Amino acid sequence: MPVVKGLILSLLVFVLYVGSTAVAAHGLRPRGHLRVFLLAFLPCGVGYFILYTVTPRDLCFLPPTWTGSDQSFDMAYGFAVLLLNCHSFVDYFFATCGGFSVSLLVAILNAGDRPIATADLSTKFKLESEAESRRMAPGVGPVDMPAAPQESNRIYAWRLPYLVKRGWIRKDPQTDHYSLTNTGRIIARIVHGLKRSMNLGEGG
Amino acid sequence: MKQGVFAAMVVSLVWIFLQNLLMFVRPAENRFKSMLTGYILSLPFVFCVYRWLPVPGFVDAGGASTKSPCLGLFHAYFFHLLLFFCYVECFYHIERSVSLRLLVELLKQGDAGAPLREIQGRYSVEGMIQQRLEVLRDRGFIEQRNDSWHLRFKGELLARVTITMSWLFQAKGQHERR
Repeated sequence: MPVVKGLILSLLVFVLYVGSTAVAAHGLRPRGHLRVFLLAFLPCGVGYFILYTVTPRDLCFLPPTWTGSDQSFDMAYGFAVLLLNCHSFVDYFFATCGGFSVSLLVAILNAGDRPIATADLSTKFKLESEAESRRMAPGVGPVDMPAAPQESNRIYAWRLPYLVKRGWIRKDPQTDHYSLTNTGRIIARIVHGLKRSMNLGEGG
Repeated sequence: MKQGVFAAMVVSLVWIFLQNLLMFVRPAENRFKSMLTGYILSLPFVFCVYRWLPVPGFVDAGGASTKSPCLGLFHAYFFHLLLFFCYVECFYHIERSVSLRLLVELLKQGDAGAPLREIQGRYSVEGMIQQRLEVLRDRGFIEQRNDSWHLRFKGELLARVTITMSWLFQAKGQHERR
């Protein structure tokens, strides 16, 4: 039975995955891409197993020496490769298109020949108008109250409602204090422990 | 093939563990460089483990050794590379994530939590930008001339790839989000 069949099919499905997410992103124009990537992985994962089952053992071109005897292991290996490749791709996407450092590079590139200092870059992360900085977040209420003008930047303005929506943090309406939910506390403890185990600083 | 996957997993686990242990003895300024060095140094051990370490019975239950040893070695190195990518990605998820840093900041505040003003006092956007610009400068992505930031070749390449990716996937950068 083919030893590289799983690998070849997994690479093929991975290419289809990247292509289909790009098409879906153009069609749907999502605000958040994680859901698109996760949803697209489901049919691709299932498609991989179907493809593996219906295709011939040698894929019509593999030499006999590239064969083994454990088809289920080969199938699982191909799926693991697919998972790792998809993870790398999604991670690369968020590191570039959603990454803070890379967005600084893009901001400098967009500035062209105009000089751009640190203060100018900081300005780019501020919400321009009072109206924008007083956005309402569904289920959370006003993100930026007049009493909290410091919330009017692009880093906190979308992130805080997002974390509330995911159920990781909550905002006390009386005191305006943010605190962790149980889920958030578990995640924070795991992350804190991992950072300590790798001897990392505060990071972020 | 099982032998190759087994070798890749064993060597990856060992070098990642040793590299993290080393960070307590001699912390590296550039963690990516230290990870890359660890990966490169581990490469010969993939061959050694593949060639000489016997595969445990429960792994080789099906007796699935390949007829082509070169192919098995290819699987070993390929899977080893994928595990390296996965490790680097997970590392940066933990180290760089602003959201996770926020959660840790709130954890330090205890059950009472904290107003945003206080969190931002400890973790300001200006601080994030300054820290990142310094890292980007030290890694050779940008340079500062007359108080103005300029892209170097590496930085420009990455910025252009990002713009293409953003178009391809209809995504917005952090400086464009609302």
